Amino acid sequence: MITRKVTRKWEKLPGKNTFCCDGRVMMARQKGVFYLTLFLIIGTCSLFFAFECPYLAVHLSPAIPVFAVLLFVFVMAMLLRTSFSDPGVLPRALPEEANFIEMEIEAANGNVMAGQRPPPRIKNVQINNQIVKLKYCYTCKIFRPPRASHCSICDNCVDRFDHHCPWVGNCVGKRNYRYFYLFTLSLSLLTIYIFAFDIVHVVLRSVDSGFVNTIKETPGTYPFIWAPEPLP
Amino acid sequence: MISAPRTATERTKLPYCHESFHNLQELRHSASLANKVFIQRDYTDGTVCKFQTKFPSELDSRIERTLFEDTVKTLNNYYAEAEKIGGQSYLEGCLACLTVYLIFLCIETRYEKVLKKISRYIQEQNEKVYAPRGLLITDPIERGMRVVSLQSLEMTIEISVYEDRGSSGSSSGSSTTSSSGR
Repeated sequence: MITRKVTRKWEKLPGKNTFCCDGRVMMARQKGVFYLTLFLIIGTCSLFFAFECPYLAVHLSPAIPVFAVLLFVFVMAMLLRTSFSDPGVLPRALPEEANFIEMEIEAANGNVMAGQRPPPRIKNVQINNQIVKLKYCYTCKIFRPPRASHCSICDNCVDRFDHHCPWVGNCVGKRNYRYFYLFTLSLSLLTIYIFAFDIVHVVLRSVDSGFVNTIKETPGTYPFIWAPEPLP
Repeated sequence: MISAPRTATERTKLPYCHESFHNLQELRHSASLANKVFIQRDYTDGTVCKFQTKFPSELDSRIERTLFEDTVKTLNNYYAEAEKIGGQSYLEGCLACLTVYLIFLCIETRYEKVLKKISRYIQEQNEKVYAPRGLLITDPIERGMRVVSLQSLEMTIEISVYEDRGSSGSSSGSSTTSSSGR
């Protein structure tokens, strides 16, 4: 039986991406800040679930932790989806296409004197009766479609490039914009939700046993107490 | 989740070689420079996916103008259908958001379904119309929806044998080099 390794396209993809799970996961090279994001989200949420939720479930309503769990699951799913998916990387031009474009450019620009800078490679296209300039990418050897841009960190041209987000460990482009947007939205909701219920929890406990005792009893509020200290 | 494309070189099927090769084999083309024509995107109606129907002069003697224009117009119609925003795509989006996008492990989006239709159409066109004239159209999705490339089949083809992941049999095709086309 002949078993030869099948070469996947992602193994040959030029550009500084890292791949896992046989190409199902695609990320940028530097992942340190992404791990920090994961740590912060999971850390604060687990503090909330461990220390505040039992009290709130008993004294207010069990729906509070349930909704928090759902929101947390949503945030994590969106984060992982944004980080692991392809942002819309444009494949680089194959040699034949690159040569074809070079010939087109030379035909348009004519001869350049030695020592003179070649004129910037721009193609004018008309979109809905407006002239838009398409720039040429020297790395990918293509004229970038409108709203595409080259990410220098990942070394790829990305369609509808928004930005490279280090917190998420990936570029944000056409194919993962939706997940990135939902991630930021749901994370804001989660933060506001946890903060609100933290305050409710502290207030309810203070009513029962006094404010100072409450701070002593709830380890979850320690980060909030230490935070103002560095301020003068 | 649509991940990075996973297959190796483009899988092309040539009708006259079909009997002797089966899906165990990959074809690798080494074409010379002047053998490819590229059809660019047509942006006059906005950024919707549409290709220029202008007939390239290099294909004058190779294929009839009407056949070529028909192919490109059908492709454009398919892409318009894929990108259409209507009831179904709205429902899909809402359902997906509610299920944290896990629903896409079970069902396919409308866009993916139409993309599959398009690749079947291109394959069919290659077999029926273009291969008999010694041409080959590539699926624009492989080039990031930037160009439709038409290449001439007058070249040497190097055939390498790879075992397909799904097959478990020990059948092995022979490794041959041959030149195809006219």
